[in-house]
Amino acid sequence: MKRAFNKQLLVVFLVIIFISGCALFNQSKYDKFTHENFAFLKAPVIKLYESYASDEISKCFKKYIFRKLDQFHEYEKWKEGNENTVEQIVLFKKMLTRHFEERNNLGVPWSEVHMQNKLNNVLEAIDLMLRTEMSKNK
Amino acid sequence: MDLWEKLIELNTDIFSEKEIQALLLEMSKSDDEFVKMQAVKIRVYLNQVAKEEITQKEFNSYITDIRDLADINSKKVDTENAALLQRVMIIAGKLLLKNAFTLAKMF
Repeated sequence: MKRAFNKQLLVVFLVIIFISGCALFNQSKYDKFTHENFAFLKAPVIKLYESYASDEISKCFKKYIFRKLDQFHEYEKWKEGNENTVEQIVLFKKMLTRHFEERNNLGVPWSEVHMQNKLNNVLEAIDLMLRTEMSKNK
Repeated sequence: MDLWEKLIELNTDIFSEKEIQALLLEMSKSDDEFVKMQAVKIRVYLNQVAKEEITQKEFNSYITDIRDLADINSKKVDTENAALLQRVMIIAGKLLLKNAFTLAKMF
């Protein structure tokens, strides 16, 4: 009788361990709003990079994109278990800043080939962030 | 001028022709789609350098971009793995809960 009771206790203990395990792997869930935020960023980014191949950089699009990224960062950082997405936003912003400084310091328009190469890399970064969000559990 | 000669001229102190060829070949054979994609891109960039469509400085900036993309990709892989592990834990937990009493009786 006592032995059976001990084994029942063991099973209950195992269940508790599993539930704790689930809690340990706490990861933010898929967020439709985050997905939309990243997807809608593509159009203004294309416009900004097209302006890098022209005489004048579009300050308007630059300001809009960086403000949006600050907003996304603020929104994402409060989600539990969302460190990877937050770090992706930081890396993406660093990439955009570097590109802007390169173009700004150069003082002349980028060639069409260079602009396309840079734009492809930036769009690839957005796609990676979108795929990250899609890989999260619903 | 041959593509590889041009590259060696650009990066003589960093890589040799064989090293770059071996690296790109290794990347092309990778199971990881991301790595394969980067190999394709580097080949395109090298061709553009050879045709003088882009400068060495621009080429170097793409390599920095690839480094950033690799960092972003590693965060994606971490998230995918964590999501998979979470799914496994949830299923295992559910199964254990469902069969807890049956298991208890079996003992």
